[in-house]
Amino acid sequence: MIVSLVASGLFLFVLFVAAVRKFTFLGLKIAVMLFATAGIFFVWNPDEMNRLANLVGVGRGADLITYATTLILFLTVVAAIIRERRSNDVLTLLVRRLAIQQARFPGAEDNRG
Amino acid sequence: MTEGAADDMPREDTLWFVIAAFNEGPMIAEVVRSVTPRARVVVVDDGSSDDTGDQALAAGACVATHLVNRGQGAALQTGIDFALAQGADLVVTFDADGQHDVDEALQMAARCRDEGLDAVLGSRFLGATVNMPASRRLVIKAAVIFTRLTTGLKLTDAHNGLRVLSREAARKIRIRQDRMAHASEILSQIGRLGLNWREHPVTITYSAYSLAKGQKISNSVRILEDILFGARS
Repeated sequence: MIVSLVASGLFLFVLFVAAVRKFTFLGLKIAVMLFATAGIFFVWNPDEMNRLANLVGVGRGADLITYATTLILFLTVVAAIIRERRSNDVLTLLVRRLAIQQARFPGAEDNRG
Repeated sequence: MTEGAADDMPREDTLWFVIAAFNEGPMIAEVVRSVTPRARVVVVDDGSSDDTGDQALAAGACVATHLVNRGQGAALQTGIDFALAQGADLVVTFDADGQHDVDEALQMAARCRDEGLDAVLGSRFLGATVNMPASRRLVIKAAVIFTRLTTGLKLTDAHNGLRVLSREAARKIRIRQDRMAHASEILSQIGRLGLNWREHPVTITYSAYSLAKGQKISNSVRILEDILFGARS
């Protein structure tokens, strides 16, 4: 009972955050809100999760959750790597621009950057 | 400005040597001084913690400083951008550790200009190597085969830092691989852009200094990783 309450609370929190936050894509906002709503539903109706699992050919609901979690985790990591690459590219451009703007020329000692 | 009297040849003000340097304090001044009588030099100090930048400046190079280390690929692109902005019509990429020969670089530049080429690439396997360890030869040979397969260029060397690019080629090629995979990236862009290139025999001198500073075999794993997974969106 307590675990179910805590889990529902977490999903409610996700739902709330997704509802107020701005997303780059509206589709993502809807997906996260649907995910949280489904989470709350399945916490209180675990048998439905088993039925859903059987529907897609997985034995138990718990197994389906494991697979789904792994997939979501994987996608999150890929997104994080892409974000890191982009910010690295931006950093390089910034460092390059500064280096060229503040370049020092031989014989111009006052030009120290 | 440093004007050397070592040679009869005048300095070519539109020929720029681009040297990426990371903690090359002990060697950089000597390398810069070997070039300045004949061509302009820009050293990109890639966030060194030693006095690489000051040494290079005192030796007569222009110095562009990366405030944080971004890798050799990023540093070369910075140097190329700088040289182009200064009006370079030929750009030479040159190693900071003294393993390249200035006269050979100048021969390559002359060939690039005389034959109207877009790029002249140094090849140590057409030329000579001094004190090259067998393990490094093996790794580079493997890289050559890999590069031939991926770029379609019939090369005899890969990951040779000595190259000459025409102004047009230097403008077209954009190095986006910040780290060491840029060497393969430049070649693949030469292939994709359909540039007119030749290889030129060069001598690479492996000194104790350059071997200590140069790429370790373990780096090749990281280069491969950058090539395979480093493609940007």
